Amino acid sequence: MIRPAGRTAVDGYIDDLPATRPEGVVLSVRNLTVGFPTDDGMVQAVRDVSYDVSAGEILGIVGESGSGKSVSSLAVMGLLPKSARITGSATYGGADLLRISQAARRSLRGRKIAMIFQDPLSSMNPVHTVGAQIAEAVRSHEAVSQKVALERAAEMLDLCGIPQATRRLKSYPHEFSGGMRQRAMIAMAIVNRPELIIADEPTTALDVTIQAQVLEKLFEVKDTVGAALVLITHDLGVVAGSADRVLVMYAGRAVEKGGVDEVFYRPRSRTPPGCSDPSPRSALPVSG
Amino acid sequence: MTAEATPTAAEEPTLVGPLPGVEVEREFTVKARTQGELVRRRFFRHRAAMIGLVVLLGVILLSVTSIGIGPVPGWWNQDYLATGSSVDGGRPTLDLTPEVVDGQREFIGPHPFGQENTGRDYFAMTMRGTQQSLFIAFSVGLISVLLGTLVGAIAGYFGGLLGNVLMRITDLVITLPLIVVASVVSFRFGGAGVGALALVLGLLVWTQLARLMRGEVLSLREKEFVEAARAMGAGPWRIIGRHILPNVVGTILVSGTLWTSSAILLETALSFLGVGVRAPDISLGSLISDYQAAFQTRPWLFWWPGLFIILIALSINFIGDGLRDAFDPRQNRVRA
Repeated sequence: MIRPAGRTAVDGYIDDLPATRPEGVVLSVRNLTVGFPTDDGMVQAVRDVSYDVSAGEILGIVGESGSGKSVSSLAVMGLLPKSARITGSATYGGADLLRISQAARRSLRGRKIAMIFQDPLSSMNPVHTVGAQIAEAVRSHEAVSQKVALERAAEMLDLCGIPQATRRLKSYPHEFSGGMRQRAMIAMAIVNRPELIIADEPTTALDVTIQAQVLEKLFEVKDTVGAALVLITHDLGVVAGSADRVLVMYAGRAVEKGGVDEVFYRPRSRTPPGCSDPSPRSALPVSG
Repeated sequence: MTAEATPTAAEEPTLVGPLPGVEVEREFTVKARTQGELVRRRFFRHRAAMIGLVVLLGVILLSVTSIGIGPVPGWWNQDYLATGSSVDGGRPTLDLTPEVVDGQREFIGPHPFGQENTGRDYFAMTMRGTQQSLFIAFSVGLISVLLGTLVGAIAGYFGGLLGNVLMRITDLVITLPLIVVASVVSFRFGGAGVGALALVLGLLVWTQLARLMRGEVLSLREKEFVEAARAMGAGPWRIIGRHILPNVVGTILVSGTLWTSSAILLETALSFLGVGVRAPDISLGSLISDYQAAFQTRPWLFWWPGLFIILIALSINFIGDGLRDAFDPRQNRVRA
């Protein structure tokens, strides 16, 4: 189930997107297990989790704190510390991300698979301008001039709804508001037009009204570049309203998997995910 | 999607207002300044740093132009090696009191800083000593900053066996008593001149900065923006160069300037012990050492090099202070 494009491509290099993005499954995670050795033995953070992400779809991963949703994504990105023991497979483009070399994985990161972090302020380097940081994302993977990279950065900021994008390139992260920072992070994630974006609780650091705006923009630009999105969150309302499929995690295991309607109206798990009950809001899907 | 995609046109992106249909007339009512302008501005507004800069530049200019460098002659008519007849018992002829007060026309005179016991012009000697001491100080600062930053950054970022080996080497160098090793080494290679002395000192004092850098890098590499850079596909050298080093510029600068000014004092100490710069060459330290016995009879032989040592060390410290304040981007942005 691929969402219709919310916005047509704007002018600039977005135009030369291929008309069709790869069909079918983009990322296939099988039997992923992540453990961290401690003095008291191995701590299993993720146990035997499998899921697929199809092209262009939104997969919501929900679960309470410590349920392993972030760790499973970091494992896929190869960003866990060296001490982590990872088994299973994560197939992307015919290659197992958990087996390929560091160099090959680095080449995929940011170019094919991008990540958006929780706190946009600490995710940006305070000593570089926003424009320089987005341009760096381009130049990490392509041999283009700084000028060209900055032009793309401006285009992406504009796409993400930052007014006066060209002038904002010269701003520092601390001069942006929280919402603008997260928009800039989204711009940084999509600037290389990845096929998959992993957003790790992208709106947790924002207030509720800005959350909605930023999420809407995220869904919009993801369709513009034609990327699939893995949305990690504990906000069931967001998942219910936007995701195509949902994976519910609890204590490192995938306890529920399936379409949004299936999971929300016919839950199979006897173990509650832990985040619906204490929430003052209804766990029922919110329209839109 | 492949990497060959390049932007088709360098068009200015259309400006989109926060609300469709509502045109924002001017979002920026004042001109924002670039970071370079801000750093320069903050530095030039730092009074102590400006005084330090002026004094240091003045000392450098005076020492370089007066007796010249190498084959290039300066404007001062005396050579620092030539002996001569003593004028007025070798007292300084510099007379700063105006003519109307003491009735003497003389301002600079033939030997403004006086003469030493064989009649050599002490101004020329002090200038030569200043040149050599400055050369040693800046060389030591540069060598220790380069080495310390490199070792600290590699040990901090990569850690593991490599980091451990590097830090154990650092520990080893720290345990070496600086003065003793420096005096032994420079006694052995003393004939090789000030360049060798600077190298020896530089190779001994980088350790503090290396430890400092390792600590800073250890904390910075756990920052989320470094993880974000990794998630973006940046390699380790790009992360060190682009994300970590710019965040420790303050530490590097302050440490570098501190070591530059303490190198002056270190060189003075070594020369005083007779193992630093040796005759016929001159440094500020060797001047003080050579004429310590004359302190009772000709105190100016002691005061002039001392004054220049203090001027150089203080001004470099003030400049370092100003640089650190200026490079901190978290200070308030100044708008005009």
